[in-house]
Amino acid sequence: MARYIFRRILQFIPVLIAISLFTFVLMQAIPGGPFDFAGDRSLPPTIVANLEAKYHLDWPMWKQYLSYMIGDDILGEEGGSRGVIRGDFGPSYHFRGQTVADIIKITLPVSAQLGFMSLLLAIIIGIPAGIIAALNQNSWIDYTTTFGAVMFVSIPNMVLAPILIWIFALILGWFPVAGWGAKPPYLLGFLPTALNKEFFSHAIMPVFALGTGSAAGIARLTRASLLQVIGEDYIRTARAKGLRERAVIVIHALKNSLIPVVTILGPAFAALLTGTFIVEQIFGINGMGKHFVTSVGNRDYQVITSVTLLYAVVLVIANLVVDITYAWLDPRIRYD
Amino acid sequence: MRKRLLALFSVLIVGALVLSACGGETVVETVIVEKEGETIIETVVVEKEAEAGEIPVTLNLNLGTEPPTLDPSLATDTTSVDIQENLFIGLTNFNPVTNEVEPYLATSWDIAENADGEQTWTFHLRDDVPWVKYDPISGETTQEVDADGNPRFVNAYDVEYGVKRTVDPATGSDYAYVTYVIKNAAAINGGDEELTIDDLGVKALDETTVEFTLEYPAGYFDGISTMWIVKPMPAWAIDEWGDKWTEAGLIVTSGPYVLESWIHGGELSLVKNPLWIAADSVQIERVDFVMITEASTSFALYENNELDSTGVPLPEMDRVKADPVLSEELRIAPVPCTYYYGFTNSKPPLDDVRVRRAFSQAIDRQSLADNVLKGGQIPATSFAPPGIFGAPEPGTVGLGYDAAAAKASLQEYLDEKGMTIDEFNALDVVLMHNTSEGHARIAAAIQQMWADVLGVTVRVENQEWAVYLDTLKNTTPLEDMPHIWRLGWCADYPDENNWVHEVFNADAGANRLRREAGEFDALTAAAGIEPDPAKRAEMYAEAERLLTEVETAYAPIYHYTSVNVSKPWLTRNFPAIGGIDIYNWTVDMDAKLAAQ
Amino acid sequence: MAVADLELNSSITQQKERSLWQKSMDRLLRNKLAVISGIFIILMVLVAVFAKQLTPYTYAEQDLIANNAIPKWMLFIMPEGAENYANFSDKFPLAADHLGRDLLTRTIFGARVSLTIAFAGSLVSLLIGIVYGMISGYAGGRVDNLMMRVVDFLWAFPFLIVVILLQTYFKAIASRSGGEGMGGAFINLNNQMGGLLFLFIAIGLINWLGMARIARGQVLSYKQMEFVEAAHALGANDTRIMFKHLLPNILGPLIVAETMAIPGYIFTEAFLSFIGLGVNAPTPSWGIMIQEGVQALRSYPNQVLLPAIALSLTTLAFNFLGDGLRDAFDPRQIDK
Repeated sequence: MARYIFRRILQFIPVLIAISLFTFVLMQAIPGGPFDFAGDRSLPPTIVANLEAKYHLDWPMWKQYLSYMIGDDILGEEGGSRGVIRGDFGPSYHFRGQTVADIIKITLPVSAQLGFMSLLLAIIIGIPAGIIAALNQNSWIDYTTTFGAVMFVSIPNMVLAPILIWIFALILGWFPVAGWGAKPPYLLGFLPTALNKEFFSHAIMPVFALGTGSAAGIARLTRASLLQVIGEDYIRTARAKGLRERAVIVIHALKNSLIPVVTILGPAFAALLTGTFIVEQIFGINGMGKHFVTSVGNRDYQVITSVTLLYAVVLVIANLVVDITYAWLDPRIRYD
Repeated sequence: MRKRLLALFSVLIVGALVLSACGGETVVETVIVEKEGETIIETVVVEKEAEAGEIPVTLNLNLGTEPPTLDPSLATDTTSVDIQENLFIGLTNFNPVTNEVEPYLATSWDIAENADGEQTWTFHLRDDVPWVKYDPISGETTQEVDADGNPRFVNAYDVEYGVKRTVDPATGSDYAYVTYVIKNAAAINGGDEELTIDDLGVKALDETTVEFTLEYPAGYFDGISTMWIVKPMPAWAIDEWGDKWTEAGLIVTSGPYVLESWIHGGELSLVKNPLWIAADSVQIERVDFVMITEASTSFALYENNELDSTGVPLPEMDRVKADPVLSEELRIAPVPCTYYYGFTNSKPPLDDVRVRRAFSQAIDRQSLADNVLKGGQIPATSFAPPGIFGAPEPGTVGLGYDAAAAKASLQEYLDEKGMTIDEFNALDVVLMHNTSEGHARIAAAIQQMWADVLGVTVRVENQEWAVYLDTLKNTTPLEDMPHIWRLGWCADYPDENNWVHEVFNADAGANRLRREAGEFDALTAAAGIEPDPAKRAEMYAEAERLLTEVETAYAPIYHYTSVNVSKPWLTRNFPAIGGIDIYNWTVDMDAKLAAQ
Repeated sequence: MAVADLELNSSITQQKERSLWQKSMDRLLRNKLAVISGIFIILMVLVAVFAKQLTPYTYAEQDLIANNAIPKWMLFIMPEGAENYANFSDKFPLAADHLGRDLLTRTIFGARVSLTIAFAGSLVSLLIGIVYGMISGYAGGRVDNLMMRVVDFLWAFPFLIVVILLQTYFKAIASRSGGEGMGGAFINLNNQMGGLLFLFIAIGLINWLGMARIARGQVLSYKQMEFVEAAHALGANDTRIMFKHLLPNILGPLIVAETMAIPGYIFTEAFLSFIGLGVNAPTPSWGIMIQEGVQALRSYPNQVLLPAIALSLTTLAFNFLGDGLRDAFDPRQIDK
């Protein structure tokens, strides 16, 4: 097990290098540098030269990349960068005085809280809904649930979110319009320090806007997978042996049907985490997705590369966790 | 296996429940911690008892975005500058109504010529403005003391330090170019190795006198003296903390407010500085800013009484104007900014003045303001808006909407070239703007006006801002340059020099218009150093006329307005130069609490 | 064994194949929701193709005076007090947008963009995925191992982030004059398509990974079957076997997977439009119309309603059709 995890992590290193290189080169290939303009105007060449020199953007690209990845001292250059390998993601070019690590420390926990709660909501609603629909196949319950599920998958959250604000914040006045209830510092670096009314009243609408799509997706998957399992031979055998319907479902069908559901939780979490942008934007939440998109516009190279790397790490860890859970749930699968 | 599944899900659910169980009121603070001999800044949770007594007079505003910096040397954007204006005193200040330069830190100033025939500006400063620091743990504002224990007041050496810091190329100040009027500033900032920072034309003569020596006589230097880049700055704090000196708990300030907390990207709070020279006249005790980008969300917050003032999103204008309550709260104030379409003067067919004139005169600016912009924008026929020194009254200079003249002008061109309108359209004229909903609307509307009046089809393109500015550089090959492009300009200081000269002068500016230097360029250069104000104003008016009526090198479209709603309990002003001077505002806290 | 027998054998499998398709179609046609969805999609395609004939307006034609105009009967969906500010006009059957452009016309033309994305995105990812997956599965051994490693490798790239970066780059170079050669031809073609071409590439390039995996898995399971060996024995070359014999057999699951992926493509376009990376104005897409409409949600909810309904119904239809296709092609589904 430990060896398996270790090997997976080793395999991951070239992927990270490739992703960082891809992002780094692509960003620099896009016309317009971080210091060509200030706000709504462009800057004279001498000023641009001063700034580029200050941040070493006048170095050749390979050197900038190495400086970013392994640090200036290893390169034998003057400069403060200690490199990604030693946890230094460099300065932000746009938010002068802040480092990329500062930004991530504030925004990642918020996106993670939002993403995790949305996933939880998706599971809590999705799995029971899928089971109920499957058990009542082709009845009105099934049709309503399925139809409702597909409806929710089909409404983009950029429409859902403002409608939620309108109804629940402005007309009914139940929840605050915008913002996020937890503030830094966070417990263990990412958990809110107080889970109180303040936190939940702010979280409810964004979590709902983000999570319903996944909930509906999970419901559909659970339904399909359960129906498929019910059709399998061993279920028919169990039924033939005269077991009660409920026992058949609970003991045999359910456990097997949830395996495919578990496997999509990893990608679903990654999708929720990267898909937070619109919800963060509309609800004015200070998360990483929103920050990433503005950084692209600001040409904040190191923020972009670092956040992309971070997303890749989350994605791979989520997949790894799922693979381990998968093997744990289904003893037939062995690590190789 | 069922057990395992059950276990998995119970862990998830129990986890959520446990998390929700722990509650408690806590307050977040930034403190400085000594760790292993290294001083670092950390944000910690402090248990705070609810303060007894009255709720402070509080103002809630939306900043829109995170201010990129609170360092006066580095600021370039209105968000950062708005906060800095409330944190730091400046040499001088604009009168919010008349836009005239008034004493602030400097009580008076003289202009003279020194022995070398250079113009010098000597500012005489007051000596009672304290440097202060806010302690987030005790919640107290205390005056800074120097190494000998003497209280620190803002003095001429702080001004000298601030200006030198801005000009020093190692600082990397984006706005350093505005100081180039100061002697040797351009050379030092450009990395001239013959000069040191001490050759810069700024010198503190004593504690309360600072003298600037200029490269050339500049009647508008008082305008520059109001700007953030020449504010006095606290050398000791910057030396101690480096890039981090602007964090809450570390920042040393000199203005009417102090920085209480700053959660990057999320929230920022100011509290009143009790040691401020005019503390008695500051009524609002704390300001809580949120940073919400989405205009419609900000407006929803306002409608929910969570903000006291905010901008009105364009799509909501019809409703706001018709709503009995909101229409009363609506204020439209002019902003010294101009929206314009530049022509690439060397790119056919825009290289012919008749074509440019046709395009400019076919724009119905009034209809655009009424039907598309809806915010009481002033149709522009010249560049500098009202309130800028030397700016002509709108409509007195330049070309307005004249469909017949536009048509005739284009026809004349077509006849001379022996072209049909279809052949003209085959030239594929491109109008480009940077990606934005608002610019897209205006471009679509004007595209249609050109089609209706002139029968011309123009292709509209947009580029993301950074790419767009790269495209507009005058080093871009002509074939990549759009024929017509959108830009805006806002005042740094209210003088025509900052407008027609810095933006359009082919020698001084970026020359995006790709004009040949001529009469206009000589005129704006001469006006900059003309000592007689009346004569200067005349010269600028003539320059504006040359550029629009004679050359039609660009098409001014409109002068901006700020469209805001403010709650009835907030009394605020709209300074003529823009910005938010919160120390001049008041909030009726009883009415505000009653509404909530 | 006589050659004739082999021929016979092969034609039996072919016949069996046809009947398999036939059976699947029969099952599909019995699924009412899927049939309705299919008809709806065909209708939408027709609407998109004949957009010009369906409406007297063009999508860019403005009537500034009639900005935000609504017909009187629509008042019932407008918020309270709308009669005080609404600009009533019967010129536009389903109201006009902020520039006085006919919303119905724009929605109809928007179908072109969204459906083109749906089909072109599928086509690009199917083509790359099938060819790649089949070669990998068919070749087996080291080649297979290497090719799948590449897929695993790319799988770790955070999809949405890569699309944002790619599209930023594509949009930046797209407005530069194309110049000579293939790059120039691409850029010019992209401009003529209103910026759609690069959107296809960005979306299609990412989604082929899943298709490649499915195609490979299918090839692996069919490779050992008699009809493939028979074809081998008859001396058919590899290309012929792959595309003549294997392809028809493995196409079913691929089409199912692709149909399920289509809503994702349509959403991606909407997402990119929301952050300003969509098609060029004034070309309408549902994503852009939703983005514009959402801004006006409080004052003119009708403006977001039309494109949102169009987008939701279309994704709904693709979802139901996908479900139906999956059930129909599932060999375990026994006619009940």
